[in-house]
Amino acid sequence: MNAGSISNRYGKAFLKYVVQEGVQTQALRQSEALLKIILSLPSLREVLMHRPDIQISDRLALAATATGGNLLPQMNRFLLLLERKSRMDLLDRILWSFILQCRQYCNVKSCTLVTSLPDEKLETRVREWLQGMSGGEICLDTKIDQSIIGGFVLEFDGKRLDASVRRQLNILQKELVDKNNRIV
Amino acid sequence: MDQIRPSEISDVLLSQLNQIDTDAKWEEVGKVLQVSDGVVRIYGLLNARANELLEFDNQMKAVVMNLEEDNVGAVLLGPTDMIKEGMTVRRTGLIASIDVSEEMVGRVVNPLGEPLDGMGRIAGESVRMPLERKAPGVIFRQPVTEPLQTGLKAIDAMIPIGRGQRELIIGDRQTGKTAIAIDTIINQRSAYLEGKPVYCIYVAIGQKGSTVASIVNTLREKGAMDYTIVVAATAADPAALQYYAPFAGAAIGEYFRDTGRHALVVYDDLSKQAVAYREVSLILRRPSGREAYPGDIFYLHSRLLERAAKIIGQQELAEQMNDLPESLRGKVRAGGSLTALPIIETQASDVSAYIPTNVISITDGQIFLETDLFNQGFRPAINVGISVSRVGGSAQVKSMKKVAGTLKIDQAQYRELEAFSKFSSDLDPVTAMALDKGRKNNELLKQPQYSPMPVGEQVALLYCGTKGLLKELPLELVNDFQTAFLSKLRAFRKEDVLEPLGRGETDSKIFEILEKEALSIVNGLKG
Repeated sequence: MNAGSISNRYGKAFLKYVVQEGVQTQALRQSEALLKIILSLPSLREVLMHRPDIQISDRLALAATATGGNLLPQMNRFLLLLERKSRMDLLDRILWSFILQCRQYCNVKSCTLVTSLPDEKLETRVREWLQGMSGGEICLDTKIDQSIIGGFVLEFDGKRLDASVRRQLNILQKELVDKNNRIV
Repeated sequence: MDQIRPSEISDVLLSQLNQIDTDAKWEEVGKVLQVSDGVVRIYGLLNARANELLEFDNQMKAVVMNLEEDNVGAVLLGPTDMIKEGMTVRRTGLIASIDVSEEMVGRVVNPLGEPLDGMGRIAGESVRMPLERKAPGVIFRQPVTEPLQTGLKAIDAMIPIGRGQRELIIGDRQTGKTAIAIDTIINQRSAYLEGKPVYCIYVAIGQKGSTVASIVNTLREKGAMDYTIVVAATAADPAALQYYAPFAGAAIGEYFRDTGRHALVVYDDLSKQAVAYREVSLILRRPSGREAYPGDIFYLHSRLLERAAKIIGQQELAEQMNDLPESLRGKVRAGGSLTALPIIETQASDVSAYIPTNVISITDGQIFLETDLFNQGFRPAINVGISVSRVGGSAQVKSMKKVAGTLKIDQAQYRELEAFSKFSSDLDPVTAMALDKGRKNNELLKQPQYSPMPVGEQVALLYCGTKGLLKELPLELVNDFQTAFLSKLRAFRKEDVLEPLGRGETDSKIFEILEKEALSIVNGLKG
């Protein structure tokens, strides 16, 4: 029940620490990369968060490799603190809390753009549009997914704008089936 | 070959296509951080509301249960293995609800209203009914005054149930709890044929799929599916579905109740729902209390059972009922009712366990079934001594009240006398007569499964027992008397005896006829 408050406290403390050290941008990037890899690889998550029998130095090395380089010394120290306080099992939630707080502090907006084909023009337009709307730095992550058929899907600040052809076809199918009571 | 419908002409389809809104809209999304046994933790969704329906990219649904500082805990309404960490989930803005329509009658559905009987989609104009809804307030209710006949002599005579009442059926396993509920549903067929149906909703929670199938078959064979809906969340379904099943049943019942009709909902059984809720709560890491149930287990059952009600007869007031779903506005009719028959399974007849005491205190009475009585062949195995109906008495038909008014006390006295008589060999004539009458009444109250009896026949038969008309008859011939007596009345005395008694009418002439017919059969049987 208190997991939310605990992760928020650790997130807040880490933010203060990285701001004090002046490495908030790098810490944010690294936390985002680490959380992304933890969510996509359940086995890595298991090792990092739920295997205290494996030495912490080995787990930190694994985290560094997974995020594609060396961990920031500040990040390293923070992970050691979590280990010492037996809070590594809340790592994902703590990272998420830190990311939210840090993005707010740095006025950075994270955004994901999914298209069916590479489209630099659209990318530039979306970036400009979001920058104008939010007034802060935009961290745009682009993905190619042919299953959306056409159009784009934009995720920004916990919201999604699905302008894909796939969604429109799904709506058409659902509405026609509902109106005519037919499985198409 | 499929028939082409008029609605499928190209121009019609084109106009339908034009009306469909496919514009992209901003929607709030979150990411799944953790999946465990039917529960997901989601980051994001900062504006999610309690009980809101969420949708995953693969169309699977979940319901928000926990709103925490940094995440949202939701229960999955489908298999856990379809959800992976990192998946996107979106808010729907809808509260968990079920689409109810007239076409749902006769169907077997899951708690989301999806058909399970392989008979295709449920067509017809549907009304969206929220699973969780506040019970009608005090001013929108009226006292229970109309009987709901179960067709079981022991219940209709001694523990009568009224429309809008909550009567608990409690007992150990294999004591006939479900049988009472099924008999009650079957008995509503006569009302259905008269054009005054009591719509029945049977909610199966955590039962074997084969058991549900067999119940549905029985109901179909007896013609009860014409006015019955079965909501099934079997043991193989996720705990969340088992937890929501009674709420879905209540929502369907409310549709009939609020549209001015009568409905009966059977929750079979709430102990399994409590177990499912405990499972969900523990995975959500809610603090546990007695027997590891969460603190709000009482509220879970009380808010469910409070939804059973008899709605006030004034149309203007009924239209202003509290918490009325938007889709029901304009359709509300006064005077409907929802009767609830919750079932609780006890362990070794322990009625003082946590869940049984909770539900006993919530309901308006209980029918207690005992293994010993069942094994002695006394079926339905109702222990009359501790079974009560707190409001049903005022809803009993007049003729039954007149004939069986003292039956419950008489039978209690008989049991007491019988216990004492075991110590003594010499009995005075008055005691011997009371014992004989009690034994014969006991025989009369026995009733086989799936054979509910119209109220007129019940009154006629119980009149013979309570008036001591069988005193000359040996105990082993009581059953033969019952068969012969009822056959004769059905053949020759339907209009002048059975029908008036069924309507609640009583006059000395009817009783004279009953006495005459009973004595002639008794003399005949004695030889």
